[in-house]
Amino acid sequence: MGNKEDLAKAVMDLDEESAYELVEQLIKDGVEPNDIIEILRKGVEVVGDKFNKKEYFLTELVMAGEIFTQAATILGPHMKEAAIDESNVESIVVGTVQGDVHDIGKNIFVTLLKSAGYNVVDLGVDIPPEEFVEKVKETGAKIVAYSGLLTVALESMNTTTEALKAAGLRKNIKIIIGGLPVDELWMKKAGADAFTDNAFEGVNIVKKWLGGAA
Amino acid sequence: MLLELEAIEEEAMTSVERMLTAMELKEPDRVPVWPLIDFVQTKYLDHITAQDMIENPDKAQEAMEWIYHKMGGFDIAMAGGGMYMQYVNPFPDMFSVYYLDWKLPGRQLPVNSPPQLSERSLTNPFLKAEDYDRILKDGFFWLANFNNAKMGDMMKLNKIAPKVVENTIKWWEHFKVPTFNDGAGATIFDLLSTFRGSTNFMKDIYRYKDKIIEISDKYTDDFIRMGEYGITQSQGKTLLVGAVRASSDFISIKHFEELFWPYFKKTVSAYVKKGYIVQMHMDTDWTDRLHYLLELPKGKIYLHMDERTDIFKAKEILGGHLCIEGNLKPSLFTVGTPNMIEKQVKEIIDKCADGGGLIVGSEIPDDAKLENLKAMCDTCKTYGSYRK
Repeated sequence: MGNKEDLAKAVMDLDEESAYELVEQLIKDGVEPNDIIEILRKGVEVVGDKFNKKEYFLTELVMAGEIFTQAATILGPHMKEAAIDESNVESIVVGTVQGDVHDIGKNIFVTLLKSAGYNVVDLGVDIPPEEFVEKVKETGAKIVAYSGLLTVALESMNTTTEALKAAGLRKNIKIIIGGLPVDELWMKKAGADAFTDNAFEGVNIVKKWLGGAA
Repeated sequence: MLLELEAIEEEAMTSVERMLTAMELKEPDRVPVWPLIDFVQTKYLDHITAQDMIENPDKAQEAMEWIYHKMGGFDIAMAGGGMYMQYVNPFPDMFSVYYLDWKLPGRQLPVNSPPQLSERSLTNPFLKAEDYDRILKDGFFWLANFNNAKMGDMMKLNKIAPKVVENTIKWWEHFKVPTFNDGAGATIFDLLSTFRGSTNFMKDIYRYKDKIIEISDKYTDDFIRMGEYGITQSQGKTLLVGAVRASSDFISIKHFEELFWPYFKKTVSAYVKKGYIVQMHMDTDWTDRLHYLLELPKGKIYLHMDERTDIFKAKEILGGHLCIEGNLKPSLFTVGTPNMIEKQVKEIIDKCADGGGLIVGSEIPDDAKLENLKAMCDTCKTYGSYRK
């Protein structure tokens, strides 16, 4: 059926309306929802490749993520129970650390993580260390992401890592820090395992840690 | 309290002369230095809080004079009270407490926390997608709210403005240092992105592009006039035009050309034509679209860039057309050392100073170490000399 290629192309071209119509059509044609998800994911991957080549920009990444999310919503009722069982999807705890309320980069990171299929626990902004600790305990998350723009966030990142250590959780998790100013120096001072000032790269680091796609 | 102030060594040019010479793309006595200072003084002065820096023009001026002397001078300053004008702005502006959820020191934040903006974009944006139609019909003023600041704050502008005028004149005429951000303009593109939240706005670019263009066409002239409001209050000369979200960190060249560039160019050109000194504050990475700036008037504009834009490329493309300023990484002033700063400043001077049109600078974080800031100033004064 030509429709499958059309769907991949619609995602690559960020043609939202066509993408949803084609998803509906493929469902009607009896194509397995999981196969449709696969096509969508491939389309999103091509968008990612084009982003790496600077043919596409953040807007296109966000839009591709949106198309994926909306298409997955259309597919939801048609998915078999097992396929939407979220218990085997890795959780990632994300938040802007205490003393900082900047959230632009964090929001983009969250959007991209969701479209990569991860279960994202977005704590929001100005998050005290104990809230990170609590959520990691509750979700069993293997990855924690701190965001921050202000240099005061650096201190909070460090305190948060210390709190995770004190709770005995540090050895089970990987920590990534993100934000415009973060670099290797920040990563060391924050006691983190990785850093990025680029949301897309951040998602790739997460993927690598968790062994490929979610 | 009277602070003891260090003496300023006299140089061949005043800061005003130096900065204007650099803007006109000629070589001054040395490379000017532009530390964009917000609240760092409050870390070192016990009797001045971040809240004072916004709400008390006398203390804000005192703090700026203190750090100016502490550094042995630098080439740009902000008039005490200027920040009040910025945040308590009755017009739709991305710094206005009447339009966005700015949290201010001594109000929603502790007295010594710098103002912060929560974008709230994913959950509860200030502006809904369906509001584009209302903007086209009714403009922007209906979006104003009085949750963060009260009507009385706006009335207080009448008391603050004369202080700002006084302080602005003091910088230009007594210290002979130009001021920064006497008024501010912006594009509708950046404003809508802030109001909608950047993630939502990126989707809007695909879904509501025509409306964004229609709004920009309809209101850009009004926005140009609104940008002059601050200048009429401060009676200064410099107009800051901010741009962040149309860079390669966000949008494609195609979208840049359709949604941003014509309006930005119109805005900046209008201000130059009216005789203001334009300070383009362009954060994030503009490297792949720097060549568009060649369409702006020559020798009349400062281009501030942060470390994401390649300043060496900027010199290559724009040298001889407009004065570039940058681009040390702000966090280096907090976590780095004077040696690290000196090395970077020297590299920028080595590669970009030739022929003038260069200012070394950076935005200074509020917990910066003073010795790092001093290292930037000193290196410009010694290594940056054009008269060797």
